[in-house]
Amino acid sequence: MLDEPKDTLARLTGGAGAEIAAARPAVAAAMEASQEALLGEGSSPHLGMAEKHLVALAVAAWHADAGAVALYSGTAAAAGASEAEIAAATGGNAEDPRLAALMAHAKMLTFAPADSSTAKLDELRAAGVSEDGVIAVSQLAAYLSHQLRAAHMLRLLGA
Amino acid sequence: MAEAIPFTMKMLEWKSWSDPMVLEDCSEEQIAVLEESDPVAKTHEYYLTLVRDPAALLARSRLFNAIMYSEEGAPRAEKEFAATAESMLNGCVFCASVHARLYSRYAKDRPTMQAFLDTGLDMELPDRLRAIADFATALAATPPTAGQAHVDALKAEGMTAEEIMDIANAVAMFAWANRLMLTLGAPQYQA
Repeated sequence: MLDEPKDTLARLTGGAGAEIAAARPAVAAAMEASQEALLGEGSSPHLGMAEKHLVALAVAAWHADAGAVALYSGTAAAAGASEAEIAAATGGNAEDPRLAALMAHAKMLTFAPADSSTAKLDELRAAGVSEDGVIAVSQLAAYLSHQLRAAHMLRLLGA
Repeated sequence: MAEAIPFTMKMLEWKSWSDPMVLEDCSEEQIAVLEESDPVAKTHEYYLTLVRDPAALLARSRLFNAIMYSEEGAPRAEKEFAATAESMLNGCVFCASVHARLYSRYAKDRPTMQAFLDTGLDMELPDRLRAIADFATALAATPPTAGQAHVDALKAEGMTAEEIMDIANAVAMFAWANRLMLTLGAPQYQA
């Protein structure tokens, strides 16, 4: 693809609101650094790369964000996810029990974080997620809640 | 089950449901991330829990500081008000307590905030705070419902697009922060 912007938010918004975002360069840079820290090569080794991008795809679908669904369908495929896994994640589902547990936890973070409890964390641990992995999936879902609101806002202000 | 704490400006402490790191077991990278994150991070269970994913914590802290502590654009008090309204919507008693105190300090208006915590999001507010609360809670919803009418209400208060973005960035940041505070532990009254 020619001239695909490196800035992830710009890819999500098609460049809407880019001039307004450029007024706060420190925030824009920290947003892009967050994308790398949560979903890039330097992100937590306690979740698989395909797991992370499939969870991101599900969270994008729960936010009804078509641009993000397209982005994370592509990145999940690049991380090795199968077509069947990508189709399931777009519906918020997974066959693999560990991935299903990660998605169930991400769904609670997305819609009803106040429903969390020690028992909810135990469900992740029982599915084979390490303590570092519990923190990593929580950070991932919480970060996406930030990113998808930032994208919504730029589309709104740039309209 | 611990006693439910209402929205309050009292000092609370946050107890982890995970297994916070102890400093002696932290790597040099983890110590550096804690030191950059917050002056109290090395003694706070929240940061000692999050430092299990040091890359994520560092990114979160740099973004948080870039949004909330920037001296240009929307006033700090208004970012804190938006953060408090969203924390109330999401049920984050701990976040609401911290950012209600910060609003009170920066706006020099504790009575309005105490009434807001006691009465709830529907409380009658001055027009500007009403517009901020409505925008914050609409952007905080999943999926977000913030629309042109919210933006127009803020512009009618004299806000520029950049200042509206500053408020929105604070809301986005607390979509992140509320979810960590709510899902990895719980508040209790400070002893």
